[in-house]
Amino acid sequence: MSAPAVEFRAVSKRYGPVVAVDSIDFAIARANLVTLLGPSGCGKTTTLRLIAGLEQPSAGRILIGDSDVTTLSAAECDVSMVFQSYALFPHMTVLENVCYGLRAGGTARARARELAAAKLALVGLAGYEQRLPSELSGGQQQRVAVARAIVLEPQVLLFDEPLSNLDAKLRRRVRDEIRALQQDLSLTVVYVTHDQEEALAVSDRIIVMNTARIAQDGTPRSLYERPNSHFVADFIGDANLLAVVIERHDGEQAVVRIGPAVITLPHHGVPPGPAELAIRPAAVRLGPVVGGLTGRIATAAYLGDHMEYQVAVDGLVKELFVIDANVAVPLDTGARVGIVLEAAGAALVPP
Amino acid sequence: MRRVERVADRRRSYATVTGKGDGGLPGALPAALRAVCLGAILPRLALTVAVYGMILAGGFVVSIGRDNTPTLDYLWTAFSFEKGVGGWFLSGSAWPSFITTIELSLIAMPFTAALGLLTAWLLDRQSFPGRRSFEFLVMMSFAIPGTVIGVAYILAFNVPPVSLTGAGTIIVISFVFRNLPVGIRAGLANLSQIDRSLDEASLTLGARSPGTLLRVILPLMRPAVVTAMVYSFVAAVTAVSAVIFLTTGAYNLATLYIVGRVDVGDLGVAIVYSAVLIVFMLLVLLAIQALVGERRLGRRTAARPTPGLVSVPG
Repeated sequence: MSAPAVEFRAVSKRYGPVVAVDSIDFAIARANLVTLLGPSGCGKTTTLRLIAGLEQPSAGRILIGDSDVTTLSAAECDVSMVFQSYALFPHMTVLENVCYGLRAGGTARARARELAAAKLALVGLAGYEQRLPSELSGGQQQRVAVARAIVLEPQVLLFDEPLSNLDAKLRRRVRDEIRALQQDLSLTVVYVTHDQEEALAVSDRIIVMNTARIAQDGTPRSLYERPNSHFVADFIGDANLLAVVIERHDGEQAVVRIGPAVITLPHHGVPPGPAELAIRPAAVRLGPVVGGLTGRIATAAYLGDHMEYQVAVDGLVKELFVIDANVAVPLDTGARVGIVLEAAGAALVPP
Repeated sequence: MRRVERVADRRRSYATVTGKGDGGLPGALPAALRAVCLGAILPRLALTVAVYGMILAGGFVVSIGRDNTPTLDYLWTAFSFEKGVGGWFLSGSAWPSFITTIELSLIAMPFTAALGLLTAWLLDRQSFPGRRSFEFLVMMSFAIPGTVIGVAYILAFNVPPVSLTGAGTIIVISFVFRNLPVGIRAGLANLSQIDRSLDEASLTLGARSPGTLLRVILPLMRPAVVTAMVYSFVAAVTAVSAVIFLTTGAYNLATLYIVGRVDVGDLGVAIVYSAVLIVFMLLVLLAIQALVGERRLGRRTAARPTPGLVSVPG
């Protein structure tokens, strides 16, 4: 068992009185794609820059492979980064950009050109060697940035919000390409994003950050299905969060009261008493009124392949956000509906 | 001579090249606003043309306004050359000061530009203790009147251990430090347009600071290099402040020679000398432009990504 590719041991980063990263620990296994996910200002980009060596930690240790890189500068770390703005050198051709790191590392010119051309071909840009970055589209510039980073065969490849400058259609495609490249070359990738859908789609593992700390660390499925806090449940997948009471445990199951209704679902260790229920918008079924939870459609929106409703629930303060695949027979605003919560799309969160 | 300075750097001194922008054409002005603008700028233009026309023409007539007979006498007095026993030599009265001025200004030029841009880079991209005070101190030399600095130089360097007065070196030093702030400002303005992530990208690719400065920052700073060199040269040639205490018989300068000619009523020579300086400086400016050149950033100068414009090959 080899050492993890990247390891943080109680790493903090302070800028004067501001704490950007507050004593975080994690280890990233080789050939994994790990996402740092969180809202703006949560410390995810600072964490990435700490790995790159562009920032020095105020406390703690950072290890890459077997070596301690805590005090090493960016030039000395065996890490490459794809910047949000791509940061291609505008006065150099595509080939010169990709050669840059090799030349700086002392590779002979002819050999560097050969390696760079091979990597450009790998990202689908053969024939574009002599173009300037300004003559490429955003997606192509991004590929150049990726080629420039992987040509050095770094131990860790970092992506800082790589899709944020691309249009929506291209985003999905580039996302899949990055994932495919990572798997083909068995790269260790750390990927920063604030887009939870993007994180769920590409990651082996997601580290959710909030206010300079790690909120939750796990596989996409575990985060989505078993959020451990209000923040994570809210941030990933637009969950409705309802105040509930866990009446009792019944083996692995918990009996949960929501206003006049009762549902049963796995408790995953949340103790009896007040708690929150995170329920996914697609796990709320609307139908005829038959007892249990009832409500009234507050707003209805048609989105082509599904309907989105806000439902005012009788006896609850918050409205429920509901996604319904039935577009053939939409419900009208003001209609009375019966509400069924499906346990499969719900999870208990400690209060 | 202030005018010479102004015409020379009106365009160059504030030239900045953007790394970003929409690249679109400016919108047309409303007709009324356009008329106001033209009304303001055209008289100014006419005045400028009149002043320079006067300088260029004034040296080539006997006495402008009174006796407009064309003559080359003044030009010949100032810039004559003769064939003597040992071959051609420059016999005109203005030659020594002209050559000294150009020589010292050309020596000062690269030093001013290099030092100014390096200082700008230190101030903008590196953090070290005392950075603010350092910035304040280097900018100070611009705020103090030149004559005060001249006296200060004499007090500091007239006696050993560092005795420099009476030599060309002190004039060059005076030029360099006097004009340094402009190089720094041009550098700072240019650097603020170069995205820091370019430096960072270079670092993460394994190039250290000196390599990054040389291969990434400097090529993108060409506009600032041109500005700093042009300003340094023009300001040095036209300087009349600090240097009045530093010139000697052996190192007389053009501006002081012209002032001297005007003092003794020899206006023709003074004017023709000015005209020659203007033409010469324009030539030097064009040479610098050709030598350092423009940044090559592609046909689309704006380096913004434009997603979806070109289809991505599979």
